[in-house]
Amino acid sequence: MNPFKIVLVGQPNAGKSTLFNVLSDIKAATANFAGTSVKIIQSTIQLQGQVFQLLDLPGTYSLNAIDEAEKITQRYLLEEKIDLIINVVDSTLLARSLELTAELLELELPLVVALNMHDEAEKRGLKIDPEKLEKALGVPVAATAALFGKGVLQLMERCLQKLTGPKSLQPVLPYTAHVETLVQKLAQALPQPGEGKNGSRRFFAIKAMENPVMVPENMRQALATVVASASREITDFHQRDCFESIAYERHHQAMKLSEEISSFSPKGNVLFRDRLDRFLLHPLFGRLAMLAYFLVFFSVIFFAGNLLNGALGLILQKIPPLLLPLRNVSFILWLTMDGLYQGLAGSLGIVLPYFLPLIFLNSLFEDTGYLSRIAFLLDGLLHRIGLHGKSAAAFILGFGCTAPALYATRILENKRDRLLSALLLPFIPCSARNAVIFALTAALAGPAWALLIYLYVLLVIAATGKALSFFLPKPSGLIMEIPDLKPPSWSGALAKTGRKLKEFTSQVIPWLLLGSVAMAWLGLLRIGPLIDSFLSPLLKGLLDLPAKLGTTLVFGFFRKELIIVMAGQALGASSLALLPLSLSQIVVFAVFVTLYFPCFATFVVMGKEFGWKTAGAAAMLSVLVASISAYFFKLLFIFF
Amino acid sequence: MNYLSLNQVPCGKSYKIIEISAGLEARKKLLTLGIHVGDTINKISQSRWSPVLIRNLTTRSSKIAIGQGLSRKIMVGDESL
Repeated sequence: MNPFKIVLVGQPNAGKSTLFNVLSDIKAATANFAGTSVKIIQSTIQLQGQVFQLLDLPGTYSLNAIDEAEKITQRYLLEEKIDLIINVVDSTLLARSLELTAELLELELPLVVALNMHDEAEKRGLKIDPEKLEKALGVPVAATAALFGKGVLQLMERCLQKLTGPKSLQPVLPYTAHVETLVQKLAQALPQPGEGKNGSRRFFAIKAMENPVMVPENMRQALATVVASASREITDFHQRDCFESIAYERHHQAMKLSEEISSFSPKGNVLFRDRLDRFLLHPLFGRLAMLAYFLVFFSVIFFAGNLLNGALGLILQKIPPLLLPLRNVSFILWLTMDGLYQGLAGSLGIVLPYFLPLIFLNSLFEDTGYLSRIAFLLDGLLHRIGLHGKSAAAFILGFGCTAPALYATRILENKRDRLLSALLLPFIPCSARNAVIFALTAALAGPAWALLIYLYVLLVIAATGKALSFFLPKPSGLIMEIPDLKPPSWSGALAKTGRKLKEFTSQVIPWLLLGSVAMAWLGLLRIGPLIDSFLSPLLKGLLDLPAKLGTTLVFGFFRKELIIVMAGQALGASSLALLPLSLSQIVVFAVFVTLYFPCFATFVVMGKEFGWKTAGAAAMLSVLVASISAYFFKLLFIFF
Repeated sequence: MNYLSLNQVPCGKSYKIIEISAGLEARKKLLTLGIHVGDTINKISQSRWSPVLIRNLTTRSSKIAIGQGLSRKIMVGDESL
């Protein structure tokens, strides 16, 4: 028996991903920033002997998609085979959420409504009657509080009933008489949508007037003149653009409905989180709090990283003497084992210590909604470099890993804003490069140098953004939802960190081990020196660095962590602290590594999302900026 | 009371949205976030380096941040209108 395919659809922050997490064992990454789940996540679950395939679609405010993430949901709903839609409604934002519900009803696919955060709405004085909503909509409604796992089983039971029960005709919400007549007339004139396509004739009749690009070509052509006259009639009658008239109609449907099924009695008490929010969004105190947040964020990573680094280093130190006897047995075997050890020491002793605190802190704060506060506070600053606040989320995620940060630009509505953000993102030091900076400076230079490098990176991003803006059209204005604050979840953050740690050990460490062994063999095969001599004009000539670091930079393109794993091997040092480099060389090297194109994965994601030309241009831009910056630092050391 | 743009009126008070004369894309986005002509909104804050922060009282929405440029194109009037 084929599993039932159920998709979760809801507006950003309706708690869709939380519900999905509760429903499945695979926990998807949720984040309380309007639109952070930008990919479709799926899992298979079993309930009462029935298998369900569950999909979490990116949050969307309406089916008239504006940004890329919304377009993914729109396309999926129109083109894929779907057995049932769970519409996740944020009860605290009932009226607005019901507008999407009204639109989903028009699709005429089986629908179940989850009134999520039902408890939260009540706390705020909004009492909603699920039964009344069920009666008014004619589809099953279940009240849930996904965060606490409440009502979730009942929801699935209603879904099962809907899926296995008799097929009943789902009603739609009628428009005002004038528009309704036109919609019905158009719907009758439309041909059936093609095989394998979702959406009823009524749905496409409405979209033909509201958002014609959504209507399949054959339907559009058949009716061009009829639609045009209907649209004109509506525009004349309402004195508004056609899409606005329909949107207002839907708004009134939703308002009327929400008034019928809910009662609001404002509660006098100001919630603590509202007071906290006033502070966090304050122009002065909010910015101070943000600075403190960043300072604490990086200090914790730096110091916790150093602590872990020292502790793990003590254990790892004990291994090399154990390997030594192998040297007498077989040189190649010893070389390979030693390469493996270097890789292991690098990944566990240097990379992991800085990676772990970073992903934990990111996971902890992602869900709270603080990212959108940062976006709000940084909007003015980002405007100066040709962007706006919404890019902030992608940049902050970039401190973790560049590839997902590139996906996060999907929430930007404007192509130009997306492109500029994508070109600047590779400059943000990801966790691998944070490890490079922290490990190198901690071992050889001191935290002040790390801070200086970060400040310089921000400067580079600002200057590059400003320079690129000259070649691009003007940025668009900001319109962004600031979702309510949520308390951080320690258990959620721990679980997410555990998942990322697992990903790191299974997907990253093998490559680091392999690279390290390759490095050991390259020394034997004398290919390394070939690469080194090719890059020597840049490294030795321009930047005054040992030419032997050339190979590490090439490997670094595959994984930046490899650079610190391999640097010691390349220069014949048993630990980072023993690297035969001067202070100036360390800083110049760290600056170059931080700024040159992150990695192969980033290149592929960028190519897929923005085209290979853009990816190539971004790579070249970053190598250029890295070379200039590293040279600049070299000069700085010469003159001061 | 004359109509003023959203960026000109004092914070902490409620207003009715009279007209939104922004571009097509911006109007669409405002609609999806639940901002309509005729809605009563509360202007929470505005400062030189930040967007204007509002909350829609008619739909009891979450907070919405609106860029300075766009806030000039949203005309508001007295709440009682």
